Amino acid sequence: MSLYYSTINKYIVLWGSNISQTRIPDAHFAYEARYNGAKIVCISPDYNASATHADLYFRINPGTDGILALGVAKLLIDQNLVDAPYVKEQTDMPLLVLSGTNRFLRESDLTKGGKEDIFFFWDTKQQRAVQTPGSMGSDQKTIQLNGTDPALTGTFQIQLADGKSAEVTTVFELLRKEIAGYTVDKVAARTGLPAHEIELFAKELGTRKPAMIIHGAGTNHWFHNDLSNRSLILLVALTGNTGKNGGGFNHYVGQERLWPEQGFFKLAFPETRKKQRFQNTTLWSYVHSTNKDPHLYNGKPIEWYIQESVKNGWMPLWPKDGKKPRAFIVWRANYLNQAKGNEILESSLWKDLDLIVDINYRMDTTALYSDVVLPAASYYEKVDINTTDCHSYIHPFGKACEPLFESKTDWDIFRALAEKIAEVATKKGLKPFHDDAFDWDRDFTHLAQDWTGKGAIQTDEEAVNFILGNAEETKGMTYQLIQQKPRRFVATDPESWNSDIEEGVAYTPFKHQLEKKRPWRTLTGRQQFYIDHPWYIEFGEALPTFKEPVEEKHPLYWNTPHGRWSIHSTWRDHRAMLRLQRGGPIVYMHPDDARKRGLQDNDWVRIHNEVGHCVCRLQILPGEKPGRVTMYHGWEKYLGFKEGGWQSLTYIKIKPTQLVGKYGHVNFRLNYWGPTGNNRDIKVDVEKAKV
Amino acid sequence: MSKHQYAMVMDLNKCLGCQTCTIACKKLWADRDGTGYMYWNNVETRPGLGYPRQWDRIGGGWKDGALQPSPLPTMDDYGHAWEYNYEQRLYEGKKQPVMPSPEPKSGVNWDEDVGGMNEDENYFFYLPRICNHCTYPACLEACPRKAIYKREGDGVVVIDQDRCQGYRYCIKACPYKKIYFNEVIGKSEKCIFCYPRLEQGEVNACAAQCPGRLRFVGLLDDPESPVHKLVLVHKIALPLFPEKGTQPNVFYVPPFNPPKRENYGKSIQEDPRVPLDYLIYLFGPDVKDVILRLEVELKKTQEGGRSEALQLLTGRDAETRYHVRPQLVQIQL
Repeated sequence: MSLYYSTINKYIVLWGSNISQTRIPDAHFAYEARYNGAKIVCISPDYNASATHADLYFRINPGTDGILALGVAKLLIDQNLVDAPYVKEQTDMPLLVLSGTNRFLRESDLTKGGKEDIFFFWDTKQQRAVQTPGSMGSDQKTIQLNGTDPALTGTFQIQLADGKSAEVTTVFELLRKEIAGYTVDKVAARTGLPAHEIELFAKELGTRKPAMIIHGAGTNHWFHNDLSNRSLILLVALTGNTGKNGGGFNHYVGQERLWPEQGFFKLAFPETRKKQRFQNTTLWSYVHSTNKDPHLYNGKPIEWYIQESVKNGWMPLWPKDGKKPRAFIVWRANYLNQAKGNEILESSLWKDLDLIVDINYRMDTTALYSDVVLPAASYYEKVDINTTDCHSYIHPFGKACEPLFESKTDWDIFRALAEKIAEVATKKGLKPFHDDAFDWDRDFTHLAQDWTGKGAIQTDEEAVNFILGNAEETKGMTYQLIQQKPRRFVATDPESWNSDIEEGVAYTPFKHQLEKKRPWRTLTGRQQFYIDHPWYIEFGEALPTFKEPVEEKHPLYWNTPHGRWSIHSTWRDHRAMLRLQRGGPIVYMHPDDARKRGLQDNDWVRIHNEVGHCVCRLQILPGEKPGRVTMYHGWEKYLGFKEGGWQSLTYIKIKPTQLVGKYGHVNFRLNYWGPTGNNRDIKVDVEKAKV
Repeated sequence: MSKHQYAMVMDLNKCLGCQTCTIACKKLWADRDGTGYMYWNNVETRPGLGYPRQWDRIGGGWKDGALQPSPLPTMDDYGHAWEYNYEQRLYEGKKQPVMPSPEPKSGVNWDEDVGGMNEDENYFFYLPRICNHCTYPACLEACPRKAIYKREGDGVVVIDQDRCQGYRYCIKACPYKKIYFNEVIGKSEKCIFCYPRLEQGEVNACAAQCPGRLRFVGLLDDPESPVHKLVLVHKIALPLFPEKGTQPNVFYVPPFNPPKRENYGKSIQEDPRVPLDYLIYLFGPDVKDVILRLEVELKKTQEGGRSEALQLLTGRDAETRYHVRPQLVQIQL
């Protein structure tokens, strides 16, 4: 969630986010903020279109964002640039951890029958452990400290339920120990950055407020993305920036946040979300294909962790019990082009599926490999709405013309499918069947009735108005009204949001926590950096720490970031746009790496590793980092490649700790928590192609 | 000399290189037969080849009152408008990949983001270019048909399509190579500063669509206009290649790239990432003072102060960025 605050920002850190390319509509706010006194820092291995606008540019070694963040965290702590009152109230830094087990001290440790989700800090005034208010198990729905003063440092003795004495210390104390080794010199050596500039960066981050980190796919798509993200978020927490206008951590990758979501849920899931077979795609694609991660995690293959996770009910997996999926409907996605390891999917999953249906307004790669393509209306041919994380207005699509040829709007396609299914079910005399997994009698003869809210919602405009009318955010709005002029959300649903909509103020998340002292939606009710789940402890990741990228053969990182020429694969094949590039897929390489391989600009090259290969053109780019090659992602596999595609070189790699669930907030929710796709660790080599 | 003169200022420190202007212009004006290769508005990475290739080094313009010679750029210098065999792959079941044809070897944005090297450090910036609607247009002088004229009311330079015979002397004479030959109709074409839009009170399409909000439009002689203020009052915008003698009416706020490695905190005068010589090459010797002025202004706001010049460059709303005055420049037909 984010908005730049171009008149308030004092410090903007573009961390692996090339906003000039990937946030074209609103990047101007950042550069206006610069004129208004904000300094811009750009952290990126390549000197790119956003780096050119920065006051400080860090040409960081790929995959070392985490160590830079933790090195800066250490500098902030060592130089007293930590906002202590904020940290004591808003974060888990003062919470007590048992020295022996590395687990949080819980009420259940202190009293028989005590709760597992009540935690403690050491109150320096009373010199004793005090319950932290606002945790998931706490009766108090506030994080207000009520005159207590939590200790950030120190070790203390407490008496456990069994009468034994035990040593506890604070998360902050553990953090200090954890990052003690990340000295400026060590961080400078690993990141390739000048030590004195790292020190200046830390000093400015700690003093120029509000400060914001804008974080993108460049940093996010590494295997250890959760660790680097936790480390980055730590910086804006230690400096007290999260929850303040113009401050905090703003991810610019994966904008799945739906504003009027309660209205959408009511329309899409009339039986509530609990009755849906939601599925994380990464896990599903791995399990139902021959994708194979060769790495072992603490001596065990990832399959072991997947099994445990599914068995424990942490992650869903459909279909169950080793069954293979039979039918696959792709809607508004280019799955086969964009999925990691897409050649593996094509040669396994694709062969197992009996039916592949693609609802699409483009003949894209997935459409080419589908049994049935249902032509859909495009943005300009239908009534629809969407929202983005990046501002608090709703977008109406606005129909410029009727859907062309046979195409239909999404709503009409799904309604027609529902009607047909109901018709066939009725004709065949299908009886309702009991869906055991969800305790629900499913009756396909009623599908069209269910779909249209018993006939109340016939058209796409009625569906839009249903959503608008059933969400706090859009109360009083109709499609007609939002077409007349831009309309901002009127309020926020407290179920879904953490700040109010304030007149004349850009939406900034987590104001409820900071200003109204509402608990954070975490296990501890605070910004929680310490995760004491057994798997996290086992992998040494209870605290943010730095881990090297996953070991892969070959000398060059395969970097496939988001670029300016497409939204993923959409528009990637557009003639007018291609003429403004080099006409087809290109891979960027630093001149030194090209020289070593005897490669010339515009050569046909073969990019290869154990997984696969592709053949495309080379562009020599001095801004690229040696040791890495870049191809902006989204190229359609059918266009411009002599062989393969950009995902031919990748495979699915799941991080065990991302399979954890049922730990407070670390709990499966579609698009929010589950194993992520990651591909920055992949390595390749490049040679001249024989064409 | 025209009664009034429309001008444009482009702030290179806000340019994203997104080419939205290029597409806006292309779709509006150059999406006809014979225009495939031409971009009245283009954005090129500097330093670099430019579009057409080496346009800045091949001649044209004035010297001591005389037009300077220049060759005609070739089609390879512009880049061909390649086509794609979408149909075969997408609808006819052919297995071969869709490929551009003819094989691309050059293009309007061929060396995007390449730039130059300052010792071992890369630098670049984007330079959006339209016709400069010069006060002393070399193209006008070079045309034997007298097909080119400067509109009296607003200074926009246009080619009378009825008079043009496609001799292309104008293309040679223009030091910015901003006139293009349409082979299909046998006539030359160029940016018309969107005068039909201006006459309706609408700003140029390239400016209206610019997501970076870096274009400022108005009459240079209107003290209220942002271009007047940026060029003549704050003196932070400069024309391209002033020594070519045509007196362009498009101005640029020069780029202010981050310092080189290890130089954070030092003045832009000390060992800057973009070599000063290169900026002087593009914008003339005055660029040195402009860069220093910008540095002083940036420092002011970074320390909590106010800068009128930067406030203007921030240009949050269309009213600040554009002063289109159709009433003032009414054309007598």
